[in-house]
Amino acid sequence: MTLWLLIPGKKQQHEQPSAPTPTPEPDQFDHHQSESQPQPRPGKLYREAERQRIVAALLASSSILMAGEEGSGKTVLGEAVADDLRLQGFEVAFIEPATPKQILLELALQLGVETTTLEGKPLTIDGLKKAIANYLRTNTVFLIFDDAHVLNPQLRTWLKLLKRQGQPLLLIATDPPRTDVFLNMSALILKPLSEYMIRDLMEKTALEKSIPFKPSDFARLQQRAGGNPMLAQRCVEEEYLGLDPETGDHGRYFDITPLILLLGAVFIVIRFIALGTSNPTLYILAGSIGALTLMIGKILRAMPGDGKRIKA
Amino acid sequence: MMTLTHLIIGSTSTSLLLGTADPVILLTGAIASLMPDVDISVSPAGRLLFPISRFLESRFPHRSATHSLVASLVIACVDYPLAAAGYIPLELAHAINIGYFTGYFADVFTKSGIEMFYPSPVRCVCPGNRNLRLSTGSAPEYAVLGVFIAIAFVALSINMKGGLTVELNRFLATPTGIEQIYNTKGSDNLIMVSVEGVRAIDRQPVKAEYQLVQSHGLGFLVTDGQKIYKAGTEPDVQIISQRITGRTGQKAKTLIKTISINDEAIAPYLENLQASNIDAQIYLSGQLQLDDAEDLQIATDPQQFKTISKQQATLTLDAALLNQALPLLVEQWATGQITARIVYVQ
Repeated sequence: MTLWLLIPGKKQQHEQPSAPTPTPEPDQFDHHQSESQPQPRPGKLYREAERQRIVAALLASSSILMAGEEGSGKTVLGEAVADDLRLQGFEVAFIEPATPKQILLELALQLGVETTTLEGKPLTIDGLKKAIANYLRTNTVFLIFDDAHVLNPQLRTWLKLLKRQGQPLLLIATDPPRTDVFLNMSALILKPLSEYMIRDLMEKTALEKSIPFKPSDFARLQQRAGGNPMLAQRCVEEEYLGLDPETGDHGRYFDITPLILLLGAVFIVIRFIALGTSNPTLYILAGSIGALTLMIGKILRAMPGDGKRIKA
Repeated sequence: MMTLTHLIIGSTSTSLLLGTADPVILLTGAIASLMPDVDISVSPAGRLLFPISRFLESRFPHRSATHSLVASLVIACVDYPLAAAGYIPLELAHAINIGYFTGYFADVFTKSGIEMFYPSPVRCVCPGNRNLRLSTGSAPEYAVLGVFIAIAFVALSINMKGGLTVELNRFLATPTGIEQIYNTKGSDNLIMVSVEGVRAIDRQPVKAEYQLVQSHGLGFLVTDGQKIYKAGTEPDVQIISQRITGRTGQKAKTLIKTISINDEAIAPYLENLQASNIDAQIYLSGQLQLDDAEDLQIATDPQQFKTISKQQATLTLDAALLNQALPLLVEQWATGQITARIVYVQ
């Protein structure tokens, strides 16, 4: 789990959300922050516009939900947002999924919130929630939760309460449900990367691994990426390992069996036209082809669908 | 999908859809079916058109832009104007488009699928289950190849006999089939009609092939070269047909000539027509008002169709053979108009 937390200073207003102010003094950072100045991560970010939009939303004290398919680059974008905010002098917590208690303990630890009572007894989950919420009321912190779709409902409800008290949140989720905190937040859906970007990413990945790919190799592999940067990198890796699956795992596959049934229906319509125009040859031809097409379509539809499990 | 599979699917589809066995057309369809793979330089089309494939493969994923309906549209926008301008035959343009379309559509059934609706990035596949789709060079692909080779043989066999419609009409043996062949091929070919039935006069069985003269009512006028009969199921037929099938015969060109006669002798017109069309089959139709109708005696044969009939002073010709009409009308003067259908057998 990675968790970065930067605390710039006290909030001026608790109830009303206000634009956060950065803390330029590095010596105000607590012990969890790296001693050196935050640096942007190396590598090219393909979602620059989205990064700027999310940063602007968070700086306006808004909360935002970043959704997208598995491997669409949500975590990378979330990390880039965190880096950007840190470079501007803000405190950022980047939280990866764990059990509710672990998340709260980690958050409390990063915030410097006491996790025990005065008697030395560990705080309960509710106690931790209360302590963290109280802390966030008086401090400006940007919270980024990765894989928020796996958070349990109680924690999501707590996040909803935090949002209500003006806490800027960035939730990163894969296909989140239309419920509770996810429904409460403005959503930014990550679209698949353009083919140009995917090709660029594949070329960079191949270069990193010193694989001498030809353009034809990239063209062949790219059909398995489907605009998904994780799958693009995986395709290069698979080729490097000598694996060459023909099918990709992206979500752009579209079964055209209904179109085959539609074609069959068109031939049946032609058969009726032939009946109306007393053309027995066309009637028999269109009827036969229509019946054959419909039968093939039905057989194709009756076949088992594509399973969700990875198997041969 | 293997190159051979593409070639067979492309040529078979072209043969089936165009109803042709012309090797040039089939070869065009086969080669066109390889063209969608120009988007990758290691394919046969890519190697042949290397600069284009190099350009495409550096910009597009394999089986995307060139495997789409947009690409088909682009091809059509190029080859149909060429056909319209007369640079290439229309059938060749059809073959290019059919071959190209089937070339990429066949890849729908492979594991990778195609971006058929490019620029939409959806990848069309069939069936949805990846394990049931074809792998290149796999045993199921060889099975598909075998099926298409069989279909290709059947298609070629049918097309060499005149096409699927002709074969189906032969199977159905209905007058509608004859009409279709007559309408589609009658301007350039003799149409031969096989009639199975009985003679109307004595119910003797008839099973023979005749040359089609023309359609008449719901039946057909046919000739054995000497006599004309009407075949069909109407009351005035000489042959009651039970099965009637057609085929295209020798190449033939048909000309129509109209003759107007205004109180003149008929014979010079007909003799002139005969002299200027030696070796042609000439059928006369029309009505004439005879000046001296009483002198004209027309013998009737109940076993033949009555092509020449007279009612008072009105003479009616209905697909009458010129060599039969001329002796009857050699001394007649008349007023009216007749149409000569002149058939040159090549």
